[in-house]
Amino acid sequence: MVELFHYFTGNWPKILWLTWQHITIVSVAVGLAIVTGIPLGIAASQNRRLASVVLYTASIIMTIPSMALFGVLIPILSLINHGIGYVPAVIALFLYSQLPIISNTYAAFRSIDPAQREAARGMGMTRKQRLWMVEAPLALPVILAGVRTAIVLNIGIAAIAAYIGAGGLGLLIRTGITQTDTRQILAGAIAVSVLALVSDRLLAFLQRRLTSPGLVPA
Amino acid sequence: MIQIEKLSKEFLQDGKRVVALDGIDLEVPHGEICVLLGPSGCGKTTTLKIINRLVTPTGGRVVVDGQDTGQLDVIELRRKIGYVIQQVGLFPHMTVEENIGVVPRLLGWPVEKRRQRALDLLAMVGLDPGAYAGRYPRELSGGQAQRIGVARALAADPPILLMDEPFGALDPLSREALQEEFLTMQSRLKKTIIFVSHDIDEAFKMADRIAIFRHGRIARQGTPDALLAAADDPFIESFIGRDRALKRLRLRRCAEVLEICTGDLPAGVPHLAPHDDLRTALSILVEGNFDALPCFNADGSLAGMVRLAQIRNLLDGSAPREASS
Repeated sequence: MVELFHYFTGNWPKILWLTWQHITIVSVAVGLAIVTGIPLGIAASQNRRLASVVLYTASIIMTIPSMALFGVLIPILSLINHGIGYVPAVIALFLYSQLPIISNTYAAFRSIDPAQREAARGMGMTRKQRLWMVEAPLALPVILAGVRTAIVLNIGIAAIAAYIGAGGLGLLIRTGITQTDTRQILAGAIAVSVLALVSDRLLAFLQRRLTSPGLVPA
Repeated sequence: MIQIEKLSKEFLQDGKRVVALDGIDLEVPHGEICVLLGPSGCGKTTTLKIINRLVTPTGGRVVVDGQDTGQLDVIELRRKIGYVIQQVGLFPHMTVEENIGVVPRLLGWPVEKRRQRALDLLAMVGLDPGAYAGRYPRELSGGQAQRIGVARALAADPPILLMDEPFGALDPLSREALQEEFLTMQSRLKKTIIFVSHDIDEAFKMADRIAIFRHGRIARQGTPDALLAAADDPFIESFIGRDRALKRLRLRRCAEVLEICTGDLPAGVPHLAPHDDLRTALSILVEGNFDALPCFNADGSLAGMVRLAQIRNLLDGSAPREASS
């Protein structure tokens, strides 16, 4: 225990740097997934056939074990000289983010009360105004819950990406295993958990702040 | 004025052709309430939604103040027509004030003007502006929510109001209260209103004119009194029920049948007021076995006598007969 504490105090610049790497990989992947996933989710909510294809595909991606996905990506990305490292890690995490983001966006838009849609239409809102003034604010809390799931999930998966040379806190665990250094394994595991918990709390806070008080049940 | 000309609507359901509207002709003069009355699935809501173009007709047209609505910009058209629906459809993420201000906001009103308008309208629909402006819809009762639904529809002062069973989901007490208050408001606002209802009592109470819908057609239309007076019409008989004499009396006030009081006033009898409806007067007359009762103004002065014979005369056929089929 004391040794672990000494490891943290003695290596904090390295740990901070790896944490930063970890955060970047996850943020870039989830950021891209938001940009693609939310429009896909909205489109799916308006087209039943698209919905079944998109949600089915996203679910299948989710069932691929992360090591296997990295393995599949290496030969493909080798063609453009990015077989290992940052790029395949971001792509894998991007793919894993799709299901929570798309399915939550889809569910959020599907659950909007038809009476509110009709009122919005009847009052003379254009399509764009309906989206931005009514549908988006109503859907936002559920979409953000999906983003939150994606981020916490990916903080865990990103730890495995150290095996394909993407860096991040997984590096501590990987080197700890190869060097049979329990301190490093524990330090990495604890750092990943703390990162996940802190992110979750922060996002929950953000979610509350961005949700209209009218939508929070009393 | 709203003119509906030869409106028809067909659609396909499970590969079968369904006729929802079959040649609807209707005219609603400026400042009147026209109630579209009928069972569900008879086409009344479809007709309403064709007016603000939420539904596209297969044939015919709607003309508002001389303009064919099909030629107008649909967004602009809807902003000039107030729309109230049974489920209210307030936006839960907006405060009451923001909900009322939606159409003004779409029209680009400045914030201060929107705010003032919302507060004025809250007072008009009988809610304390200070207490309600900042509330969210989840904090409102059904009656309060629909009051705000009405305020929202009136926000940009549209000349036309479309109301789709606006009070249908309310409990009987709030429904009565809202009907009364709405009529009082309308006597000042003079909007042209199309009001969908399946409630016969509501229709006769609210309407200047009623169109009775059946299977996508207008079976009968006319003023409430003319419809109720059409004694020889079996359709109306079966539709309205056999108590229509009472329904008619409910639409009339004591003030209409007052006679000058001759002789001494009977002492110790119940009093009537000029704005009491004749159904109430009849009930009191029959209950106490009176032939006549005195009617007093609010200031205590005698307005005249209400006689049983006079009520009977009124039902006997002096009423106008303009019900057309």
